[in-house]
Amino acid sequence: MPSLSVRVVASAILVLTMLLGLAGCWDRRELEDMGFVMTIGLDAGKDGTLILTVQIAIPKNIVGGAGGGGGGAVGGGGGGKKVLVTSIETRSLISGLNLINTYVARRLTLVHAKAIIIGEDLAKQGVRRYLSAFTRFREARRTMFVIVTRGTAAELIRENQPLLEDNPAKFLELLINNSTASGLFPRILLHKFLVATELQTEMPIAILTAVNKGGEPETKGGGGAGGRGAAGDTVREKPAEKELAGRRSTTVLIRQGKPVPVPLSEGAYLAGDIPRVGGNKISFMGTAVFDGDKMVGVLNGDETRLLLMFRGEFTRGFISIPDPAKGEFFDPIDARPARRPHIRVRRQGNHFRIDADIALEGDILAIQSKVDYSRPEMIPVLEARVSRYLTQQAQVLVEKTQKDFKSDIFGFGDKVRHLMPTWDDLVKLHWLSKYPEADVRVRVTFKVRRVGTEFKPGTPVPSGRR
Amino acid sequence: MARVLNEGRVGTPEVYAMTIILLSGKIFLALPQQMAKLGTTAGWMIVAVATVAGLAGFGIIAALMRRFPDHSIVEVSEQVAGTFFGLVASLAFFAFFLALTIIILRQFTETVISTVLPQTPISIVTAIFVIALVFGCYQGLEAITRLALLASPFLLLGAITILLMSMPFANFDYLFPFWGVGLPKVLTTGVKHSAFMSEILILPLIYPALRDHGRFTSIGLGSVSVSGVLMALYSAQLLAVFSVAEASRSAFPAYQLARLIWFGRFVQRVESVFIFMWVLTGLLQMTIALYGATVTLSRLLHLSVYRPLLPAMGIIVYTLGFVPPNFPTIVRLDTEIIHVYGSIVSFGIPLILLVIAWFRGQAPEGRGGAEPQKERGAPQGRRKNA
Repeated sequence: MPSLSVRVVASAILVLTMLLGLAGCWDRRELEDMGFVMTIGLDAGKDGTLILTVQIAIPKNIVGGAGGGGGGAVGGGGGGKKVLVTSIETRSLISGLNLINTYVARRLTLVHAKAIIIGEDLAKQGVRRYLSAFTRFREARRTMFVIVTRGTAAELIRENQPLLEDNPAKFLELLINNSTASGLFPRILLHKFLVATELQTEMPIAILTAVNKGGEPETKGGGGAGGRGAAGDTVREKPAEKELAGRRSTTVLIRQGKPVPVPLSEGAYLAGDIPRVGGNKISFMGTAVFDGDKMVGVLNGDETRLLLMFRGEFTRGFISIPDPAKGEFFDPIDARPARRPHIRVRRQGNHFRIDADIALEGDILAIQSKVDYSRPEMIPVLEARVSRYLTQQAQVLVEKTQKDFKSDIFGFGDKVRHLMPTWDDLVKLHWLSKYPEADVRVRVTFKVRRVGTEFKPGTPVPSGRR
Repeated sequence: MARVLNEGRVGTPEVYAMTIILLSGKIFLALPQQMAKLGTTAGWMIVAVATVAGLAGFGIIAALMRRFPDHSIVEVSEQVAGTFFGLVASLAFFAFFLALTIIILRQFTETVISTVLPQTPISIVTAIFVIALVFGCYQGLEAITRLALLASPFLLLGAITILLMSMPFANFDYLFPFWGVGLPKVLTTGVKHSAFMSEILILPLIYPALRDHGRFTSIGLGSVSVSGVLMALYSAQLLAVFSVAEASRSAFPAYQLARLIWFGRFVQRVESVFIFMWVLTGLLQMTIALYGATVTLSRLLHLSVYRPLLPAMGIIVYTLGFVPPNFPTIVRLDTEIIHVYGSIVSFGIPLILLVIAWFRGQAPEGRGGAEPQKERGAPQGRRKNA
């Protein structure tokens, strides 16, 4: 039997040797040897090829804050660039990274990739064959954002020049997190997207983005709405294809069964159409709708909010509601879900009836008219107006998903699962083909909880001379 | 008979921890994925049925061991079935533990390579594991069980943390249709996979170290139940997060659950924390399984020591670990061979032994024993203990 000290020394040597092994000599990779891909862009190339665009961080410029703001901070050319953007034609995504490494010295890695941007053309062709690389390849994470751009991903990544943020990854994460404050676009992770492509009961959606081409805001009254997309268009009169061509969608209000045009609300735009000046050229607004893994249409910001309400993903938003008395005035409300959406599905033979109730609550943010909606007896008037306005919009949205997209992006089918005893029954039912014929009844109710920091609206006193 | 192996004494909590880790370590391997594949939305239910079947299986073992206090199942099989058939039975136990060690070793090695050390040669990773588990076995049952107890709060906390932190991604509608592949198939698949609990065979093997039949029974039933709950929870969570299609092809379910954890900009990419947990679980599982194999061998060879066999066992395990050509094969061996036919070894053989013992009138000892049987024959077990 060896003495105690010999055993202690032997054990110590053994432990230290094992520790060395655990450190992973073969897998040692120095930080300065790696090129961190932040954003991955995918576009359809010619003859079935893939155009892969990557945005690679230049860490020394991000950390040191070099370059300062200005247009040259990001993108091609000029010193102090935060990122390097390059595009390449390839057959598959991961092997494309190898190809880029023939002229980018640092070994590319996806461990810090934040977002996948998919060009519109590729999205329409189907994306699963490319996206599956991300779930198999160990470096990629399922917590990347899935974003569809109206246009090409290459252009979008080139034009993405954050001004307030030095770190492009932080910019993207901050911007997308705004979804929880506005609800104007969804916050879709690759995991959620891929799961939905294979579900029997739900279709996937993605964040919609674009390089802004909306032009400057027009300052003369009335011009704004007439200039791009005539007010009075109902959402469903517009085929999805046309919307993709770059026109702005509009909002309608149905009064006594007739569509009545109302001035565009702030959510009635698609990404890229918002009239604005200044800021980063790219913006997130609206939703890309898929059938299986193929994009079939888009929703604007208003529609996205309603969609998120039904999906239980809406957390908060400032929504402009046409004033009950004066249609051209808006009363913005701060809306939040009061509880989870209540969705009931009933089945009679092959016929499905869905009752979806959304309960919102919130505060009055402003009153543009002179009517005092803060009075307890007037609050129900505003509540009824908000409820009716949102319910009508929701009905139009449901019809759009049933007739134009034929795609259950609400996840109503998830409740159909409860009606089916076995998996085979569910597969045989093929809910996704039944959804367009389902009788869907939606109701949105809104309750005012607070009125902000004052009661009745202010009234200007005119001289009376004019 | 030569002097039998003395493994010392082990405490109840220690053995609980060891058995639960050995049984439920599967949650970090292919089990949740297999359940989604076999049961679709009712995958977790298959685990529940397998647990009940496993409890019944352990009942058989407990009924058998009650008749032969102070003996391990290796000696029991020799006493009951005679030298030759006893040897066959013991060889089956040995083969089971050896196969289990190899299967777990290779799966953990592949997991480590596929997820964190892709450039490291498999021989190095395997060698490090084998050195560690031979070292662990060398320290003996008391050390293994104590380490299991020490590690268990950490492992349990980690396992629960993954469940809770992946909750934001869970949609429990994905657990419907409730009956999945249908109740009849759930029941038959569940019973068939009672082998998920077949590692419980370690308990009758260390029976002499437990020294009390009541303790033995409660540890067995308790650890099968606790492990069943853990396995069912992981199977259900994988389904709720990934849905049937994705869950049934997830190669590293627990790792993928952990990789999803994402609470804003600061709490993400935390899976590396859990990798230590998995490696520790894997090492403990393998050590216990290798210990089982080695002790079975030394008992059936009537050796009073097992440690001299360890270097040879280490080399055998290391070598056989490379036999399966690829990762999918090893997963298939695990889920379609070992954890299906394993119940024949761990529950089937004890059942046969129990029936033979009953026919030969080898009566249980002490209180609660069947009186008429006692009168009928001269129980061999008692005579040997006297």
